[in-house]
Amino acid sequence: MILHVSWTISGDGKPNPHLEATLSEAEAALVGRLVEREESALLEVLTDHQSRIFNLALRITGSVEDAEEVTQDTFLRMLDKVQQFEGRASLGTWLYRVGTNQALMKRRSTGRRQEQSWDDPMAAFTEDGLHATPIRKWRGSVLDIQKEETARIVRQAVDDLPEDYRNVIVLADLEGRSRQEIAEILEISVPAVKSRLHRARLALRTKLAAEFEEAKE
Amino acid sequence: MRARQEYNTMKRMMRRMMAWAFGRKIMGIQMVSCREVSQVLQDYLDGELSRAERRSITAHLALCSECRAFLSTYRETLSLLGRLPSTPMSRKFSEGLENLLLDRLSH
Ligand SMILES: [Zn+2]
Repeated sequence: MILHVSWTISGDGKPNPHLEATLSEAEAALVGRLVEREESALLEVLTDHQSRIFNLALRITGSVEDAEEVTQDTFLRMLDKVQQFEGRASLGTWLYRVGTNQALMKRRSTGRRQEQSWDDPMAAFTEDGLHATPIRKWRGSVLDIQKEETARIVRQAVDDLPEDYRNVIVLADLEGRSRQEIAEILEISVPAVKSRLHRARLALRTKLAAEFEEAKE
Repeated sequence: MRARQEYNTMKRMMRRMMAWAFGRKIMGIQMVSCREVSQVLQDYLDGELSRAERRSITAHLALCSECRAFLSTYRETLSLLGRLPSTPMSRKFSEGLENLLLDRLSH
């Protein structure tokens, strides 16, 4: 992908960069081959992107079955739309956007679980503004995410988050998307993304603390 | 037993002193509460605080072991999330998807 940067000066005198991505030659060629219905092009795209789209969908929906459905729908849609593919975003970005939206819709439509209630993270303080309960460090042994048990606890905690919190955590902290991008995907403002993200992280920290804290001495 | 009691007394005293300091300026530094620290942790880690705000947080962290533990576990939360391993797709699904798409491609 090639990025073109142009600058404009906004009302408050700050320069704003505008990024425009165009397809690299290799990517444009790949899209061309897809339009020509070449099997090898399709296999190439699958190899490059299917696992990423599947994991994104799994993290949002929390269900393997739903994630498989979303992955399938995303690539089917790609085949349908490839002819009118604008070429303004890279194929990877396009797939990612479509996959995200499909997964969000899927999760909403299934509404398969009762959402757990979460304590307001700001309620964990005394009137004076001190921590109401002692904060302990976490056991070093649990912090290895390669351990199945640790990964399971973290996944479960994310999956249990209320929808608004979960979506920003998945997109920002698991998938590493920028605040700007998340704002566009979720159709909320950047400050709203930031405040939701912070609250979500505080809630998650508290949840994980219950599992990971050192024993009381 | 006695040492434990003394430790707890000291701890209570520290909490009183901290609560007293919140909202005051000491040696030119605005003292903030644990609640305020937790509210701005994200901006603190993103480097988005002013110099004065940063100094307030740093001063608080130097005094407060609970907020130090809070900060380190907040960071650990982010680090765990960022390193969560991806889940492999089942072979059955992967093959099924490939066949479905190849079939669609030729129509
Ligand atoms: Zn504190």
